[in-house]
Formats: sequence, C-alpha cells, structure tokens
Amino acid sequence: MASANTSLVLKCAATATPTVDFDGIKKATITLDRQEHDVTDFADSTFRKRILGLKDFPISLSGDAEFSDTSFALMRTSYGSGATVYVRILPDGTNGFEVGCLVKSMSFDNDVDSVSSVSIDLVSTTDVTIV
Amino acid sequence: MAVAACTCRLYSTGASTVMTTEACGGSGSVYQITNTAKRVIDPEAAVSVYANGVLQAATTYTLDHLYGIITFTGTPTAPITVTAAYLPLLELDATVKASLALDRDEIDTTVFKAGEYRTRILGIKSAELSLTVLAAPNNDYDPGAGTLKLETAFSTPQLKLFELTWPSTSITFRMFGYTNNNDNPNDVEGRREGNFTVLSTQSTSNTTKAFAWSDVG
Repeated sequence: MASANTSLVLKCAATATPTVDFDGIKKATITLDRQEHDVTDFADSTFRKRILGLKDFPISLSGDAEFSDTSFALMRTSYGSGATVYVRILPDGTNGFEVGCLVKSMSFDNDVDSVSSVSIDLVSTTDVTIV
Repeated sequence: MAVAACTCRLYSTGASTVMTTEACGGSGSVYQITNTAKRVIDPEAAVSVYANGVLQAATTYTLDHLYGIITFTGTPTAPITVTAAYLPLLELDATVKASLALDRDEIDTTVFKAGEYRTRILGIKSAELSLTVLAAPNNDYDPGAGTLKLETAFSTPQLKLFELTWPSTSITFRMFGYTNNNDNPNDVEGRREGNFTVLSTQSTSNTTKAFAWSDVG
C-alpha cells in the first residue's frame, strides 16, 4: 500500500532504538547496498555470474538547519567525536530501518534570500536492523 | 525552529593586537577571557597564563584559541589572567552567501565476521567555507585604522579566523584557515561579486583546534 512521505518518521540517538525525532529534515535517503563480485569464468555460458559481498548502508539527510533540535546537536557533536549515532527511518511511520552510523560530512548553506539549510552524509558501521 | 539565512553574520579577523593580563571569568578548572571582543587568540603569538599573578607552566593547561577558553589540569588559584595577542573580529558586511562544508576522512575497518557488513572509523577533520561578497576583492572591511582585505589574505597568504554565526540561535562556528581561491566574475548585466574559498588549517600551535562550534565544540 503506497504512503505519502509526510508519514515518514526519522529518529536518532547515541544508543540503539532511538526515540528522539530529528526536526527540520525534509529528505532522508537510506541505501541498502551489497558489494558485487563478478565471478564469470570460461566455464560459464554467455551469462554473467555474480556473488554478493559486503553490505553497506549509506544515509543522506537534508533540510532546514534547526540548531535548537536535540538530534541536530547530536549530529554536530558526533561529527567532532567520531562516535556512532543510531538512525531510524520509518518511511510509512511504522516499518523501516535502523543503522548505526558515523557522521562523515555536514554542509550548511546560507543564502541571504533563503533559509539556512543542512545536508548530512552518514556512513554505516553496523548491520541494518529491519524494523 | 528553522532560521532565515538573512539573519546570519560572517566575520573575519583584523590585525593581531597585544593584550596584557586580560581578565578571565570562570571557576574550578575552566576559565574564559571575559571581554568577548578579545576571545580569539592569535595562535602565532606567545601566550602567558597567570593564576593569582603566578605564571603557569604551559603543561598545566590547554588553551582554546578559537573561544579563549583555558582548561587547567588542576584547580588554579584565581584570579586568572592572560597575556597574549587577540584577533579582533570584523564583519564581512558585503556577504550574500556563506556555505560551510565539514568533512572527515573515512577509514575502513572491515574484518571477517558474521553479518558481512562494512565497518569504519572516522579520521582527519577538515572544513571549507565558501563565501560570496558584493564588493571588490580589495574591499577593506576594517572601519578603523587597520585593514582587512580578502584579496590580501589570498595573495599574501594570511592565516585568518572566520566566524559564521546565527544570532537568533546564539550558535557560532569559528575556523582558522587560508583563502585559497578568489574568483571574480564580471557580467555586464550583473553585479560585482567576489567568490572566496577558505580551507581550514591547524595553526603552527599544533595543540589548538582548527575549527569548532561554540556550543558542542
């Protein structure tokens, strides 16, 4: 059943099973990726043969920079300390994913005729939990 | 609460200015220079910290050059004073855009284990500030007798501190950096603009931070 993105729930915390909302974010993307190894050899037919390797779960967030938000402050702190933050993304408000991540980069854009905006790129460092 | 970017302010620093036995406020092991205009400490000038008039060994404290904070290993006897040089903040009042990018090196630590997922730790930090000003590159932002010209900071080159602040939030970001790029597009139908890029750097005083937030460090 399709759901509008307005039902998406985004939470983060310094420990697993985060319960604190991340205010200001307008776009949240989580990619579930597995490394691909090509194992095609002469013994195979004309079709490519693959196996899957390491899993990776990069997350990107973007939206308004809300400095008073607890989660936003956690992101800024964790960028500096290198500590793991747990991010939970529930696209329909109930079901989704949770991953332990590191805050690899943060970008802040301030244009005189706009709103202060932020983009955050997180790299995973734990396995994904299907919620 | 979202913040209108038009409320942001951008500052850089003027000429290094000596201060003698400048008062600090605080208690316990943490003190900060009281005068807010003198909290950016020149990392390339000598610093002397005194506790009740007694010179303190440099090994007994750490100094945050960005915000003028002294953290002692023990509990010193007040009053705490500092003799050093500060960098006065001057507003870059022709700024129309300021973008800040923070990045960390990513170090792969993946090993053979159940779950087959990639693990990492974070490495070196760096910051890049991009700003656009509606002024000539040699515009002087120092209203006093000194000079603060972004073109000079680029061509000399000069280590400068840049401060980006969101006044409505009371949160500030400061970074030491070099201006490594100066782009000046000129369109007959447009306006005069100057685009500068500043890259963060740890100063010669390798105990100080290159950049930090005023609240979370």
